[in-house]
Amino acid sequence: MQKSWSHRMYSGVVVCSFFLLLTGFAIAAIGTPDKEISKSERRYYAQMPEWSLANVMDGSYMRDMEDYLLDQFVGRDSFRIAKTEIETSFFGKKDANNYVKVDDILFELDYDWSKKQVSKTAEEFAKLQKLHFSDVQVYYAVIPDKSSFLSEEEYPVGNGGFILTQLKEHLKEASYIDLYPYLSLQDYYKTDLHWKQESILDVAEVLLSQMRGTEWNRDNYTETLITSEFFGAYAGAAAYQTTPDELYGLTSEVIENAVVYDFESNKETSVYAPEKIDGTDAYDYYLWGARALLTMENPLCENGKKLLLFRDSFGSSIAPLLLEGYEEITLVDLRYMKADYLPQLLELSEYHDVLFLYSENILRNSGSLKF
Amino acid sequence: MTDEESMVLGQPLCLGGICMLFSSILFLYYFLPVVMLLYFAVPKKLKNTILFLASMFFYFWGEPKYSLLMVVSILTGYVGGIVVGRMQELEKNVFAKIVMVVTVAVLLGFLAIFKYIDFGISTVNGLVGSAIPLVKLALPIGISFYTFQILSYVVDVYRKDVEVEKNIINFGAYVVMFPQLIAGPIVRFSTVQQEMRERTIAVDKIAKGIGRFVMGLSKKVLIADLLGEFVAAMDLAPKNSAFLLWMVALAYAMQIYFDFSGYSDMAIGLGLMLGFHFPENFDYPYISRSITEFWRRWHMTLGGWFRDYVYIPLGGNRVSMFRWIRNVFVVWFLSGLWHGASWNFVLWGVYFGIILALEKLFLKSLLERLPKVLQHLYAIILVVISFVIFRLESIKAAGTFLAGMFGFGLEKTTDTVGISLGMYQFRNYVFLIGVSVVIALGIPKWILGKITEKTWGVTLKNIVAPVVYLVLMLVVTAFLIQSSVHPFLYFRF
Repeated sequence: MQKSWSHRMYSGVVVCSFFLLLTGFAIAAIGTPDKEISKSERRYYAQMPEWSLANVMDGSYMRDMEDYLLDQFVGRDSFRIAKTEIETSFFGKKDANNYVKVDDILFELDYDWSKKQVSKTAEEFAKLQKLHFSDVQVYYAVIPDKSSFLSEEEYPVGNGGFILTQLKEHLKEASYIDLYPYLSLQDYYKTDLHWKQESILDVAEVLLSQMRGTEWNRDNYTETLITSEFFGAYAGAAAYQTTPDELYGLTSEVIENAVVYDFESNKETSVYAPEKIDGTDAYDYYLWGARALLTMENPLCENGKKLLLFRDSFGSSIAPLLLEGYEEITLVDLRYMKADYLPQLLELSEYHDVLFLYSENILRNSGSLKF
Repeated sequence: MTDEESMVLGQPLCLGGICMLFSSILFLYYFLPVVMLLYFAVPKKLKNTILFLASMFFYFWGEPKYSLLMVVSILTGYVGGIVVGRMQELEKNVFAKIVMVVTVAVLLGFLAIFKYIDFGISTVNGLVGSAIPLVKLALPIGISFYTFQILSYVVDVYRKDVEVEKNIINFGAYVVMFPQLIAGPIVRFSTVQQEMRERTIAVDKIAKGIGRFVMGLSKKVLIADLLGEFVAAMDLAPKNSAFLLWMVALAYAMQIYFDFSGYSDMAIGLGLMLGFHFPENFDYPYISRSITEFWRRWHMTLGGWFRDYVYIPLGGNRVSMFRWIRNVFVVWFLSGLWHGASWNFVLWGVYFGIILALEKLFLKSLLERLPKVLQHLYAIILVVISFVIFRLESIKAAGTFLAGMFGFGLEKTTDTVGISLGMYQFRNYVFLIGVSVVIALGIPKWILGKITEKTWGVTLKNIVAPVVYLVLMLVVTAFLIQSSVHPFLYFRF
């Protein structure tokens, strides 16, 4: 039977467009130099794997190749954003990959966590206190997760209460410092989970006044714009089209004169790390990002007081602001070192104050903390 | 969040050794164009060789360690077929039968070892309290499908329903042909033997195949995988609402339909591009008004296989009532077991066996007196319930879930996040669930049929369809770039 002109045209167009699409992207991918790092996803891209009989036979070569092709696909970032837009705009989903965008602010919905784990962590904190800090004043504070500012009517959020109850139950000998009244959504970056350093002067003030009773003068601090192109962790993970944040650094005479000692590299360094601004995470500007054990010394303070701060990444931006009240602050990140090692590295009896300062985010997923 | 934490985000996962899925960047943008280019470029007599080599590479990529098993299975079927055919030529029918039985036994032996041995051991351990250690062999991809294809060939040769294939490349290409290797349809040799020797490759057939492939790919990636996200997300929510449990069950029924029928569409589409006509595997099963009708529309090639190679040889329905009931149960027991080496699959098969027997005995005639809408509801409710048994890992879990669907034993929780999580996820996916139901009921197909009854409608379709395919390919690519690997549900069979 004679096919109509439109059918012949249809067949030709379908075949040509299909194979042009497939081969076009394949040739473009092969012809484009491989990228090593993705700033938007804040991770290293997979590189072309090398083959061997062993990795081919156990299938790992194939898996690595698949990863490589996915990572190096031409227009990857645009496709990721397109997917998020289609899911939220066309399919009517409120989140994409468990990330929500409300008024250009990104939130993570984290509901897959274990209550048992939170209880266990609170218990471990209590054990730590009993073992090493029974004679000093121990404080604890919880940093609200950004998602706790979302409507509980609309989103599955709001388990801060459970975390706090667990901590209060186990840390009966410690003093709780309530940070919730001092934080609002505007105190967090739009594209990241962290609080903004320039917005947490109130928090620093309440911590210092409760731990040290120190009078605190916020006029000592000046804001400096570090970058106006800060795309935070949520921007990379969520792949929403979004505008960048501005990242500021607070400086003062105390911060400028402070000396930071990094136990991992065995080196003295500065409070801020300008070279981290162009890395995978500009938030690493504050105290060099992920570090297991740091000590900050304040040569301008002579009160003889030392603070031991158990912290997560939120601690990097607030610790410099607490320095005003102490001669020395030691920062411990239990995600990167075991609490067991502390007596070997530090003279624990020297500390006057101990503060457990953790975000809800880390406490919910506190299986990463090492005791 | 630190560098180390961020590294995990967005990192694609590849589960097990199953890498070269149709719904993967590797297959779509590298394997497919290269193979098609080679296939179209070589002369006719080399096309099967290209097809065989490409298919072996496809299999090797996903299952390097079991490629030898594939070769041995091909050789077993090939040699078995030749010997059976030769015995028949020599009129040594008893020997032909013995060789056929031995070949079938060897092939079923492979299936038993690689798929069912641990099931057998754990059943024995459970029954007699022994502690025989499990063998823990990985399931070779597609073994249930390609074993059934080879079995049907050998039996068909014995029955003289099909000619012996003497060309090893042709036979090997039939068994390992990548479009239908992993999840069917189960293509019998008689269906494609002629096309293995002589087939035409034309632009309009390729275009038709592309259309079918793109629609299948979209069903899989844009509907089934997203519904799968809903089903998985609801596992985290408390089982405190019968309504939500029904929605999860419905979403899973839709997921498995779009996943499996999407795969079949892709296989049929790829077949057309290569010049083959594979049998249809699905015909809008969710519009059925009885379970008997459902099984005429669902996984049709498997149903046909069991009918022709198990049910009819057992005597079919032309036997006494007792033997007929036995036949039905044998077929559905085996059908359940074919789907998975677990007792819940057996229960799933037997569940359908009972309903089909009841329908045959009296239920169907009763149903036909009811309004059509009630007949549809009857069928869909029973099917949705069946997939609860199918999905959950244990009979106990399925029982708890089913009880919850009818309001029994629902969890009581005061966890407000948990309570809102269920409704939140439902609201998130309600549009998709609705779309999937509309498509599964064949409404878009009906509308398209009406439009293309008119000449202008055909012209309109011919103009719009290429754009739709292109857009769908780009959208699917966006979803594949971002997503983890979602293996086809039927891979485990």
